[in-house]
Order: sequence, then C-alpha cells, then structure tokens
Amino acid sequence: MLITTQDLGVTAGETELFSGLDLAVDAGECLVVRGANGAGKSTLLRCLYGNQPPTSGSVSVCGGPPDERSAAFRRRVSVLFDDSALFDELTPRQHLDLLRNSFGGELAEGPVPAPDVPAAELSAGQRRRLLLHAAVARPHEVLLLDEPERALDADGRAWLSTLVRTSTGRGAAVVVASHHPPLADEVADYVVDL
Amino acid sequence: MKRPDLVLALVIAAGLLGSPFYNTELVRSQLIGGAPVGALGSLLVLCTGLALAWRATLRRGYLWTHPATLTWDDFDGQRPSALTHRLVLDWAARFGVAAYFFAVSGMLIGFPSSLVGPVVLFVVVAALALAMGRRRSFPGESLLPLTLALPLVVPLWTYVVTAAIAACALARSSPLPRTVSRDTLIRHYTERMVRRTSAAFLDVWALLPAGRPVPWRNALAGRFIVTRYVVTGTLARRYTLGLPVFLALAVVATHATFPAVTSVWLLGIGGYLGLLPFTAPVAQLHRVPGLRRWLDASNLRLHAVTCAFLCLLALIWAGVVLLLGTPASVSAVVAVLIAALAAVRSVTRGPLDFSSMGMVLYEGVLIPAGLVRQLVRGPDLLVLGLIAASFVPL
Repeated sequence: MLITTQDLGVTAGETELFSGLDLAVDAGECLVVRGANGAGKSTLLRCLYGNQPPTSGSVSVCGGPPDERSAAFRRRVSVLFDDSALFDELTPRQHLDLLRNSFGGELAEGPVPAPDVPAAELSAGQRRRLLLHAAVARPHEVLLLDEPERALDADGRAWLSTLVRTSTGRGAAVVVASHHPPLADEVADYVVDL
Repeated sequence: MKRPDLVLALVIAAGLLGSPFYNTELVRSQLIGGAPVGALGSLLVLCTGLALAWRATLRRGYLWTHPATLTWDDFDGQRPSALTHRLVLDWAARFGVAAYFFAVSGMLIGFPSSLVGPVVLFVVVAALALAMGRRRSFPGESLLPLTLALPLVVPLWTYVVTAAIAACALARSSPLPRTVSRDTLIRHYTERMVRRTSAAFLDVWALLPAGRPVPWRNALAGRFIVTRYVVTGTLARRYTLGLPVFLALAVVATHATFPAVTSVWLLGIGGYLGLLPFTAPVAQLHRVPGLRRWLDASNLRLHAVTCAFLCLLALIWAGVVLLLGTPASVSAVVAVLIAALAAVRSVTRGPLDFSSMGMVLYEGVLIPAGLVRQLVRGPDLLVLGLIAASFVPL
C-alpha cells in the first residue's frame, strides 16, 4: 500500500474534525474525499503530506512517515494545495521548462494556458490549469489534489478527470478532496465522506 | 522610549553629530589621517549626498494613507495638503542630511574657495527633486541623479542653469497628491506596513524587490537548471541595478573624502546592500513552500549555486569600485565575498531547531555550537567577517 492511515484523528481546538480513520490506497487507485466546508478534507490531505501532525493515529506514505522537507519525499509525492504558487515574473512555458529540467517529468496532455503571458496576468482558471499541469508533470507515486476543480470551466473539469485517470493509469495512488460530484463518479475507486 | 531616555539619546546624538564642529582635529585624524585630500573633496561629498537625497525623493514614499484616514479625508478634501505636507517633510529631512554631510566635509577637508556655486547647486537640485517628486514618474528618471557626477567635470553653472530650467518646467505640471488614486494610496500603505514590520523584526524578506517578466522565452530550457533559475531570478530584478551603481559611486566618494576609513568596511557594507536585492530568487523558495515545489534541488545545492553566483556579481562590483580609485587589496576582495555570503545568509536562515544544539565540550564548558551557528544572521556574519578581514593580515 502506498498510503495507509491507522486510527487517524485530528482535533482543531475543541472541535474534532475526524477520528478513527483507517485508509489504504494502493498503486493505481483513486480515493475521493468529500465533505462540507470545514469537515477536514484539506486537513486530511495535509496529514498525508506531513504538513499537519495528527492528534491521534499514524500515517504512512510511500512506506514511511510523510515529510515535505525531505527532497526524496518530494520526488515521490506530488501535490496541488491551497498554498501552491506561481512565480509572477515567469510565463507558463518558463514554469514548465523549470519543472521538466529539474524533475525530468513528462507534460500531461492538454493545452498549456497562455504559454507566453507572465503568471501575474493569468486568470484564476488559467493559474489552476498550470498548477494542475505541474502537479501531474512532477514524477510521482502519490498524487494529492485539494479541490482541483476550483476555478475550472466545464472543459477544464473534463480534462481534470483525464489527468487523474492518466495518473492512476501510470500506477500512482491519487487522493482528491472535492466538492464536485461528477469527478468522484468518474475517477473514484473509493469515496470517503467526512 | 521614556522621556529621560529620549533626552539622553538626544544628548549623545548631538554630541556625536556635532563633534566634527567642536573637536575637528580629532575627527579629522580618525577619518582622513595624514592622507592628502583633493580640492574637490567637499564638492564630491555634496554631489553624492544630493544624488542620494534626490533618488530617495523620487521613490515617492509619501504617497500612502491609512485607509480609515483616507475615508474621512476624501470627504473634507484634506488629502492633497496632507500628502504634500508629508512630501515636504521627507524632502527637507533628506536634503538636511545632505547639507549636514557637506558641512562636516567642509569642516574636515575645507570648503571650496567660493561657496556661492555649491549653495546654488544645492538649492537648484533640491528644488528639482521636489518638483519631480510631486509629479508622476517617467521611465529612466531614477538614473537622473547620476548626472550629479557632471559638476565635477563640466562648468558648475552650466549644470545649475540646466537643472533650474528643468525644475521650472516641472513645477507647472499637475501635482500627484491631487491626482493619485485611492487604490494606489492604500496599496502603498500596505507595502509600507509590510516594510516596517520587516524592519522591526530585522527580516529583509519583505524588503526584497518583486520580479518582473523575463523576456527570454528559453531562459529556463536546458541543463544546469539551478544556475539558470538563479540567473533568471536575478535578471527579473534587473531594474534594481541602479542601487549597486549608486553604492559603488558612494563608496568611491566616501573613500576619496575620508581615506583613513578602511576600504574593507566600505566595500563590505556597500557590497552587502548592493547584492541583497539579488538574493530574492533563493529567498522566495525559502519563504513560499508552493514555489519550492517547482525546483528539485537540495537546499545545499541551491545555496551553493546562489553563493557562487553572488560572489561573481560581488567581484564584478568590486572590480568597478577598485577601478574607480579605491585601493585594491586582498582584504577588500575578501570583504565583498563575505558580503555576498552574508547576503545569502540573511534570507536563508531557517527557524531555530532546538533538537540540534550541537553541544561541544570546550575546556570543561558545554557550548551549544549548533545553536550558535543557527543564531547567526546575515548582518552578524557580515560584521564578524569584516572585523576578521580588517584585523587578519592578508
């Protein structure tokens, strides 16, 4: 199993977000996490990336505890989180050049938005597409996507399903936190409601 | 600060700042020593001071307003007068400092044979700076203060007349305090708050310049991607190149005026301030996790490449300064290299990790060497390095 959690729980202040969560996601599988705002979807993904220490239980990703600070871990786990950012001065083409020449990954199918326009001038949807391109282009065994459908148009959402299926098809374990029911219908092997 | 503390601080400051006027011989021996000083010495100081004050005025730092105050001032129309008042105060303070340094240099070196020319130059340049500061900026204006090198080589009155005509022409343009938008004022207020917080916490992060688009499409296509990233990030901040140029001229002018001040300190501090903006590429990777994910390189490699590149820039900068007349020495070269390393350290020092104290037993005393190493900030490294470079014979 690439991702396992045992009795995982997180408490924020006096509010228990979730507890007793046992998950197991293997290579080529996709888990979709659903829930209302504040239910703990993003928190769960941060636990899987090592950004959020759990209140109880344990997490194992790629055979060990997750830790973003480790370069080796970053090479095996790719993410799209709220804190994902772009260099305002670089264009999408330059971003993807940086990524390809650094990680050596392959670009996913689908148009690169406004390839020669500085990122500072991109729309929210274009920025999201570029971040998705980057998340999938990085070599990964595990892919964590936090509400990836946000700001995407209908075509973009359809493309998102293709991206997830491509990633699982290459043998990655994918976890998606989403508010978009059709995405879960199209790509999920398992669904967790928080 | 309590009132007695403030009084004490004022007395000490007045004593220190006034010492060139009542203890002239002692200060002269400390700053100039027995070295001969050219007749242009105090005029050089005047031109340098005017250039720095002019350039600072062109930043238009007076264009900010607290959002709440702005709301009320919009109703009663006090906004233009409040902004103009702030502009004049800032302008007066900057040119007051320039006047002070001219007076000090005059006391120590000797004033020019006639004071009429320098005084008129001072008045005209100050008026031109004020006229430019109160109007909208135009491309390349930040380089205009460099023209103050001209009075040293062309007739002073030619420069004065030209500057006076420009000041009169600009005085008629519409004033910025009346036309500046509310959004701009609030944006500048926010930037000012970020800068002040950064200064209060001795953290240079918020003082670093933002990048601008890099017109070379294939800048990041190819091998040696970490080097490409650092160079591209530097090129994205090429608009700040004026700062190292100004600092180079300031170092040369300071050395020419006060030759007893060791060039190690001038080059070290000048190099540090000049290089700091170019640490932004590595700084943003440290501060923004979402950006760090774009580059697959260890921190060690990233720091090493950045240090190497900044050392190269430091050597080029030092080469220009030395060619302009500052005496060359191994210590001076070491000083700029220390400045480059200190600049990188200023933006890459991580949060303290108390689990790696690195305890070392030294003559029966346990010393947390690892913690001490973590505590060293960029400015600390600069000062310690320059002290070492000053005293260690090289």
